[in-house]
Amino acid sequence: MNDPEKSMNYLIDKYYDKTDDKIDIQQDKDMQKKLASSLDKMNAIKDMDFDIDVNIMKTIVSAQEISNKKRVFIETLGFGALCISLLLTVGFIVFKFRLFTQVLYAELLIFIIMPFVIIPFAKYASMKEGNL
Amino acid sequence: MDERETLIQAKAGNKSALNSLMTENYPLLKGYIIKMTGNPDIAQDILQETMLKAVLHINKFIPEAKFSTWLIKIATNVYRDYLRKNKIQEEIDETFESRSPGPEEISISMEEFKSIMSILMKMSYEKRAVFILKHYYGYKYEEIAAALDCPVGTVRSRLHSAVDIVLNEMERRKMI
Repeated sequence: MNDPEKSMNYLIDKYYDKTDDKIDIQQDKDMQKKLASSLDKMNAIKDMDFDIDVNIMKTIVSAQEISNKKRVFIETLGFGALCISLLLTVGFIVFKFRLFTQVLYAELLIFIIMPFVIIPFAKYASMKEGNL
Repeated sequence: MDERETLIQAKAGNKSALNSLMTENYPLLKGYIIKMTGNPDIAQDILQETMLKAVLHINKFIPEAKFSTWLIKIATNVYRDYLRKNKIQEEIDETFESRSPGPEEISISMEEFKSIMSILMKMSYEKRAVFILKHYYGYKYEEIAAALDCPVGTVRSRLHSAVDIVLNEMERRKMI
């Protein structure tokens, strides 16, 4: 091989791929020795280590907390957007069809019935939590 | 539990499976980052952020590939972003103390040890990544290409260039 760069690239590939091709030219043999010597010297830092450590479990917990916060944020945003859309829709229907009186009666009904629904449900939920 | 089963569990959020995966690949990842950065403080930050990102984005990992390759990819990207953000001149920490068998035990001087590290830091981070993965970890060209997101031809060319730097520097420092 006459081109020195090509020769070197070939020798590098041979060094790492451990092929069995024979090298005949003395120049290439010298280059091979120099290459092997240099690269073997680089192995001195193979097992180099620093006094650093990362708590894997703590990192996992932190990552999952970040994930949960992101999910809660997106859910809250989604909930807020849904509420606003619902209110706007109801508002639009009320004003479009002039259902003011009907809406008033509906709201009164809801405010009267709601405590009778929410209080037992909340009590049941807190009892269940207490048993856990 | 085989690796595939562990991966499935990890993707489902099982902490024990995640811990098992990370612990298994921790030595390789740590060694790679240490050689890439040459600085304990930077290595600590990069290692921490890599593991955090790996857990956060575990669902993006495709089980057909090697998990260690994916971790290497994340680590390289984190380090690249760190370099861009800080625009620092890469240099080894002159005061670093390695925990590996001391130079006295392996018959090379501390100066030579630091010279070798300095030669590594002379390479651009792309060439250094290829050299580290090939020379110290025996990765195949295709695996390196997958880890660094570049063609196999580019990997070969970077490796040749990295070895050229090693040879020239060693000659210049009269180490060979």
